[in-house]
Amino acid sequence: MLPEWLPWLLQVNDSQFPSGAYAHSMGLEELVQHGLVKNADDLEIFLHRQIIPSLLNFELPFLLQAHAAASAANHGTLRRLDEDLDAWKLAGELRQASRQLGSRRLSLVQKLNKDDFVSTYVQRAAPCHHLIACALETRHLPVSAACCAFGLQTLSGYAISAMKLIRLGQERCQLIIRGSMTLLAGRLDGMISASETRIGWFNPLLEIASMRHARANERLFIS
Amino acid sequence: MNGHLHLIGSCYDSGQTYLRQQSFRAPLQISKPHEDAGSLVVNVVNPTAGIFDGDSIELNAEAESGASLVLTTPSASRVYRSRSGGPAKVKQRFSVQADAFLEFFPEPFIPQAGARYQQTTELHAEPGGTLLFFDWLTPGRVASGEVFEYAELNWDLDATIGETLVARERYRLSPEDSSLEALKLVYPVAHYLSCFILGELIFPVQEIEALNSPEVYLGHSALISGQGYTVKVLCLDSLSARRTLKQLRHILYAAMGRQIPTLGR
Repeated sequence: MLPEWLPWLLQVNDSQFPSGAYAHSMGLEELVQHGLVKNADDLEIFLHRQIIPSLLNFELPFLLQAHAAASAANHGTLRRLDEDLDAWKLAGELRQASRQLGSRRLSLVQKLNKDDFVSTYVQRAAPCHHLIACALETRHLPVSAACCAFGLQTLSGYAISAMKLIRLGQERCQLIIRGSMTLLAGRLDGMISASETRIGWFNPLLEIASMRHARANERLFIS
Repeated sequence: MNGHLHLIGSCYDSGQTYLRQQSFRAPLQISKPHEDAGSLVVNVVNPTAGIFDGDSIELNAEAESGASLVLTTPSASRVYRSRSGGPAKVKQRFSVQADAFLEFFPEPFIPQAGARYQQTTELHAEPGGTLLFFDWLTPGRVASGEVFEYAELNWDLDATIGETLVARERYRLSPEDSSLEALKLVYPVAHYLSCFILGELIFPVQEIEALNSPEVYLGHSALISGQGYTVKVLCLDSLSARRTLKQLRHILYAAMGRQIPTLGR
């Protein structure tokens, strides 16, 4: 039987969903400009060795906490997690991008599916980071589906923005996303059951890249 | 060893800073503090060979209102191979009250092959206070051929201004996974510098960006409160790291309108 949440998940995860993600490279543009990601192979290695570990060690464990709070309709915990993300994201540009994506998603989600819980949360001037928006959007879904959705948004966001930055065709782009999602999906159950209390990931390169991008003379992307 | 160093810098009516409270236990001790450029400079000394697994060290330093305290170390901190499989632990807290200044400017941290280490850092500034914190993580004993051969480093940092959490970091670095990938991509033997500035200042953007070079990959950002900044740097080697830290310190002191004290080491 078709899970009733599946059509919703497909819609909010569609690449045409107007979240504004297309305008962000999340630091990748600077890495390309600096010659650290030069081609499709480099992009694949970047996703596998830097972004997926970050998802598994930071963003997705964080999403587990936010999803639990949203599922339990716990505004207080959700707000604290949202504000904590302001501190986790040291690079101002990444912090702002995350807030913009989250706010846009929540704004549209409310129009598609009137939800008092989400409305109340947004009206209290919360930061509305992307992770928190994802937790709110998917709070009635299994947490593994929420993690898959956020993982896909992140990985496809990098891959699709890379098409504007390096020689990368649509087919290769989709192959890279497929390979990355397969790798991520195979590790999700382990991550969910581990429920680590100490989460975090070290990526000074992406942090510095984003900080430099904010002050770049030429740029294609907002972040 | 279970060692500690607790310091509270306070201020006489004359404006001179003195240590109102000091307590230490091996392996930590302090050299005779000296005053320079309006600050009290304290060298934190570990006279032993370094830090070993099982060691637990606590460092608390506070600058009370009106005080200006500069903490530094005379030599690199080494963490040796863990023989027990357990870590060495260092817990440090630096805090400033309103109208106080505190700087922590240590020599490099050198985790040797097989080292296991946990560092927990809390930075706290009351509004109106200024806290300057530097960290220098080396790849290991490079001259001996040890590059990123430590077993595990756990690096935790929380920074607060007043009641607001403005920065949080949780790193686990290990050659067993890809956690060192990003560190090594620009320079294979990268030295990592981290600086937090809590407090109000006109951030010297141009001067700090001018530190970038083929040997230095640097970024900076305002923290969430707008009353704090961070500077993150990857450097080619120890020479470029030392040069960058020195220049960065000079730039920040100039931006704060403060005279820079000599460290006396």
